[in-house]
Amino acid sequence: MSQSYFSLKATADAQYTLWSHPDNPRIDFAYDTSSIAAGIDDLVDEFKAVIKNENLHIDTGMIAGYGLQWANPLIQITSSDGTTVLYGNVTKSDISDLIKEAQGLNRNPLDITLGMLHGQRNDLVTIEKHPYLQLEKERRLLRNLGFIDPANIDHYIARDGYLALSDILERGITDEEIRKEITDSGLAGRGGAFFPTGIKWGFLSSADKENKYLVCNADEGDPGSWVNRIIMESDPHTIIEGMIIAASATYSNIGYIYIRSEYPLAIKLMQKAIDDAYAKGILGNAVLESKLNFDLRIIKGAGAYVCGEETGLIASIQDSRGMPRIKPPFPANSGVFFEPTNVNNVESFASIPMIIRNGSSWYKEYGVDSISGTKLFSISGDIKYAGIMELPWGTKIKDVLKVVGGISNSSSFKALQAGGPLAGYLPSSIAENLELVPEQFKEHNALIGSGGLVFVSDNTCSIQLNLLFSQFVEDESCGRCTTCHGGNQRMTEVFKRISKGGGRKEDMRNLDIIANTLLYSNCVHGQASPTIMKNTVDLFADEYNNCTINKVCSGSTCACPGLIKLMIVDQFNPKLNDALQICPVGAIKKINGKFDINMQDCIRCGACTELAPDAIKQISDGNVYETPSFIPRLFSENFKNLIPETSLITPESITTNTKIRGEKSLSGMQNL
Amino acid sequence: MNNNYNKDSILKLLDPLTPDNADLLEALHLIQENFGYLSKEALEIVGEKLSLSVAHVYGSATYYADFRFEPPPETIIGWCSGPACLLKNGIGIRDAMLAVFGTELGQQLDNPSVEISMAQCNGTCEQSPQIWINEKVVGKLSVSKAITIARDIKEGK
Repeated sequence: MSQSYFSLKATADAQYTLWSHPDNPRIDFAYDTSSIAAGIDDLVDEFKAVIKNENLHIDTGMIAGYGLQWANPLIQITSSDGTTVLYGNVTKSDISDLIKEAQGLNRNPLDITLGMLHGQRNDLVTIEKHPYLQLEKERRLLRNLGFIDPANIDHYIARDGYLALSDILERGITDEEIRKEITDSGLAGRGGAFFPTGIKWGFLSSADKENKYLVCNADEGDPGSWVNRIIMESDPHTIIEGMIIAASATYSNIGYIYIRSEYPLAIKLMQKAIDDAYAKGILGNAVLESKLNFDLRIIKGAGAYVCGEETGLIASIQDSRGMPRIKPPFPANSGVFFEPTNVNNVESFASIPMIIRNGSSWYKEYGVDSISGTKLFSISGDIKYAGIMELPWGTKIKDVLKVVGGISNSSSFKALQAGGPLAGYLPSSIAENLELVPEQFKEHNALIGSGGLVFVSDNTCSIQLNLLFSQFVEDESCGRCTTCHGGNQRMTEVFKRISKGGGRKEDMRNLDIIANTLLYSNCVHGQASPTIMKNTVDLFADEYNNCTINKVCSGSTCACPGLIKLMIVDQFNPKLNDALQICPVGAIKKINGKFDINMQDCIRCGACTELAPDAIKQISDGNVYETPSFIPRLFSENFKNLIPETSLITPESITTNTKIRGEKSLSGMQNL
Repeated sequence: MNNNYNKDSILKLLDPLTPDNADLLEALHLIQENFGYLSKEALEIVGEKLSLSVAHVYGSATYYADFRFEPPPETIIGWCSGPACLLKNGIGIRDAMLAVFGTELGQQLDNPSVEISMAQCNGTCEQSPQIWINEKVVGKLSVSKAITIARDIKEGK
């Protein structure tokens, strides 16, 4: 062990012991994007004010939340004996109780207690026993969640951080041995392509150039996936350590972490981690006093989904429009600034230190034959408890649905939308029997993607959902391939027409042609964009035919606007007055004491059914109802600002039955 | 926000940046963070500083959804377009708010100074459906709540 690491570790251990066994009790606030959304900032201010006003001997600190996102704001109290208790759904009214708890004056456990994180108390169960965590076998990627302050490098080092790096540098482990260990572990690219990481590194290692680049892809654009954010916000150093190990295994000397701008806290914490690592001699020249040199910096993205594709990401880094290009040449030959480059996902890099530390056979304890280890999944949709979990590959989807509290609002499980808008859409009959294994998804022509699992209830119409996804893909197309930008425009038009009630028999064939054309796009964005549509046509054929041919839509909160009608079923319900007041377009009128809804004005926003659910019912009776005209979005937002208004001629603005733009408040609306 | 949009202050901001060093996005972010938007002059200065043609800078900047080319409005309502929000009638929330203001996505209004723009999922789906008002999350929305919020903003409350 190098002297340098030894002294770093000694300092860190001393600090961490003090922190985990503090003199004064300490209240740690879970501080991540989710808890900020849940209002942790106000709570922190209130707590601090009380502690200051009453002159209490209680310290405060920051921690990454334990991953129970649905229970945010989370806080932890660590007593001087080293016990740590986790509390969730904390509100301002809990402050006095929690202060008493910190002072040891509380007799009975509070009902906001989630469990013991560290140490033992007779009256409390450990957090591992929490029902939400029953599928998690062992936290490996999340091992530091709740146990370190992510902004403190010493905490990471004290929990064996940078040990793997120090070990390979000290023992002189060759690049080949590192790559073999990673290949043996079965680690496969966690971005969703599942290419073996060790083999990918081999390509870069063999490139003979002076400058070689490592890029960490943290442009996690898939809506519904946020696993990379969790790692960056809870354990940023594990990514840095993984990248330095990768650098030594591939002879790379420059690294970039490309983080999407939607994650400002992750950017802040990663920057702090990089600065601290430089200060401790872990980054820069002579990493940990070895011969290895590695420089690392952050590139902040700017809101382009397709930059998550590796060649798009590389173009974006080197000062250009982030447009993907044809491969080959592969990045290992020509990447950032046309030098050999390797792009890996955040989770892949974060898995490296533990594999080196514990060995490949340890890593393979979990998983299935085709893919090993654990994987983070972010789970959302029509479920009770949205959040993240670290699950072994092979976990059953029906078990996941059980621990997240099942489908909410007494509706039933209709479909699983996994892995973002390019990945897939499977009906419950298939999804219930699936395990989280990429091959099993492939059997049904779907992809598991990067870890987002969105559970869809039968309140949602698959056609409308398809429209929303195809519009997303259209909007985010870089525009290089006509097949992609044009194909997705056509696909969007078809779905938009169906959802307005204009579905035709030949649409099935049209969609098939579009799907086949899209396959000729140059990058995965275009190639995979018809996946959800194809799943829908194949696996939801009845529903597709109902919306297209029979003009009956089964959706409620997400339904085809042209196939639904709102009916007043109880004229004497007093809540109808509220509905009349709330209607943003004045579609509800009271004439001669009788309420009426004009469906030609109604934008189907659902505000009235929300306020008067017993008086206004939504029906779909096989008839088509006219919807207010929308101008379709043909240009992305910024671009539109740059073109003069007059040149914005759209197909719909020149058809006769459309209102002229600006004529009424509604006419300018887009139907994304 | 700095209103002193002149060449010296921009150059000072861009001082540590160099050509051929992956600094373009950083330059554009720095200017937008400080001045709120990217002006034509700012793009010219960036090009000069990073040895890129103005057309290249402009072409890159307009590719990304984050950048604005005119001063931002007082209130930006970010509408979350993620799947968890869409399943819970996110479309209804969007259309209702747009209807209250009589606007469309990404269009900047003067009176009141407001814009509803499309925002991307950042994984706070336990709050769905949600919007951001000047980057502060307003979660667990309903359409009627969204309409009330929009009307309050419209009336200057």
